Amino acid sequence: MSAGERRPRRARHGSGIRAGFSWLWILLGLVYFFLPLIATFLFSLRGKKGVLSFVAYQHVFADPQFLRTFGFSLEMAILTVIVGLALIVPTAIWIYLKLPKAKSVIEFFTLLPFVIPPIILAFGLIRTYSRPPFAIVSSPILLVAGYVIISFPYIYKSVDAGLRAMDLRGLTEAAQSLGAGWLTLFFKVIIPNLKTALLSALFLTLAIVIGELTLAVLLAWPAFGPYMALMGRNLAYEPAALAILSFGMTWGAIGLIQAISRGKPGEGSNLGGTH
Amino acid sequence: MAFLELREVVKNFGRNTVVRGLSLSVEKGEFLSFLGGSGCGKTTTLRMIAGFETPSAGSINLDGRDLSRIPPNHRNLGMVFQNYALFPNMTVARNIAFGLKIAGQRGDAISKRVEEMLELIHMGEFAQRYPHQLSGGQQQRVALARALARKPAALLLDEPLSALDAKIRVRLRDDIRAIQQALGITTIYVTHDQEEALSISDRVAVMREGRIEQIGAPFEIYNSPGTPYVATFIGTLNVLSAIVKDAAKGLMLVEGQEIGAGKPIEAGTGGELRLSLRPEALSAGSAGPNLLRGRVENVKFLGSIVRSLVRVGTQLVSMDGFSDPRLAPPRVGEELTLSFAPEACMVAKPEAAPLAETVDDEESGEA
Repeated sequence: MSAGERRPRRARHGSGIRAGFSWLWILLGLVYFFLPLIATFLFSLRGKKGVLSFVAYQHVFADPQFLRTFGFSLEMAILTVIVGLALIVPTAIWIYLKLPKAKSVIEFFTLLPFVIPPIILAFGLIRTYSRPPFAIVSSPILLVAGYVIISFPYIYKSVDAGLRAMDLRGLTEAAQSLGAGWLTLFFKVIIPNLKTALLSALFLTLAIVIGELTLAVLLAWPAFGPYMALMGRNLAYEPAALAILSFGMTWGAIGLIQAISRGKPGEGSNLGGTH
Repeated sequence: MAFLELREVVKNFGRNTVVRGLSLSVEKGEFLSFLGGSGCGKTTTLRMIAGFETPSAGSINLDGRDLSRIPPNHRNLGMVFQNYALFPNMTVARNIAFGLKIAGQRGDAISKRVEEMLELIHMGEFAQRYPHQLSGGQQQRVALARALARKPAALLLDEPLSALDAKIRVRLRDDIRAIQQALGITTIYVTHDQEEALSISDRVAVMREGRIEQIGAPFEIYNSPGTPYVATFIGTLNVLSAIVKDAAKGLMLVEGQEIGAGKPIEAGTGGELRLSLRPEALSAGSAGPNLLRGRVENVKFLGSIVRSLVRVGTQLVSMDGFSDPRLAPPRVGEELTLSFAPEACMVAKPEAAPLAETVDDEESGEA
């Protein structure tokens, strides 16, 4: 008897039980995911003894260090996005159109930031760039360069998914046959059709860079990651409040991508990941 | 010099030679189709004309200018693709206006031209739709309008109908031909569908292994195929083995039954021959000068046509007859006499026949 014959009978037999099991697993998953979140949230509300209050959040916002470090990290993140997209988008398009064989090489490179720990990257950067001819270890350029490397896989994967979702070669040739040069092609055809992919690259990079710890600590910058770590070591309720805040911001960003990409022609939900 | 002229064009991809010394002249206003199976070089040739591929050797001239150093965006050729390739971020109107904007036309001139083009494809009310809100046939019509908006020197179509279903395919192909004739635009059309090529073109170039096997009017290609390949590729063909009885008188024997070609045969008496017959050139009856007796083995009802498979000795012959409600179709097992005119005989020597597998009507569309 083949599997194909067996399946319908089993489905008939236990469809109710199976549906029940599915819901049980979903429920367990939701509990696993939300329980710590709820616990953290409740904990963050206990800044004042005996009552639930937002006093921990008030402390967070009242601390000038919070805004200063967050602002610095946001600035670095935006620079990272600009540099990263400027480097990666044209490269990815070029590879798609002219060098499809290089795709596997790039795929390999995208794994490197995961394989090589940031601490190695940081020491490598410090060793290489703290002496002439590139003594730029005290410049934020080096930090941004490191962040570009860390966020490269996320940017590339987003752009890759976006390019895969559109018929890049067809659109390129159609535009060329209508007289378009490379600039028109790039800005009028490719970029508008990559909008969702670029947004997902943007928000992923923001999320990664704003919370980044290792590079910021080793290169000695007053960033948000080290600030959070410091808070976590010294205070009880405020780190919980910070965690909830950053979680909220991340979800807000994802919601924003969804809202912007909804109903856009030809670019459904190609958010990062595989498609 | 002809309007579009290809001279000894060669294209290699690495060690693969895809187009082997192809020469071709196309007159202004002509509709020419490249017809052939996959890998025959038809699309590559079109892409070389468009500028998306560079010829490895040879030259392409359009209206007296050498195209080889001109990039695709300066050739002023309209191109229509198999998968439409409309810009998904733009409305129908903006898709059509795209080329006009690049050409630097003024706003009111652009909107006037867009309106004209929408009228040409009968899609005026769809101007503000996005491509994903249109059916495949509508998208391809928009792609056609977009390609024609700039008044290109020539129109290139790369299998534009093969992603559509049968009914729309036939309608759109008639539309394409009507628009082409109305505008008088020189058109090169690539297809693997022989019915499409034969019904739409002024001339058809049958391609095989990077060369043009035969070029001519559809009627000519179908009725006097120049090579055995063309004979088998176009339409359905019965290929029978025959023995020469009298070369001078054009007589031969098929399964012992005498057949006359009506003209001398270039072969020695007693030698072997291939006799090719179109199924529709055969009819049931004992009137004609050429008769083949056999037994009906199978009857296929194809709508307007009834195809009977008749065994003549050891060989099988297809005969097509119109479905006539007044006549009973042949019955399986029945004795049947096939009759045909001497002009229907296409004779070739067996050794000169690198025949393609006999292609059936229904199957040739999938190559």
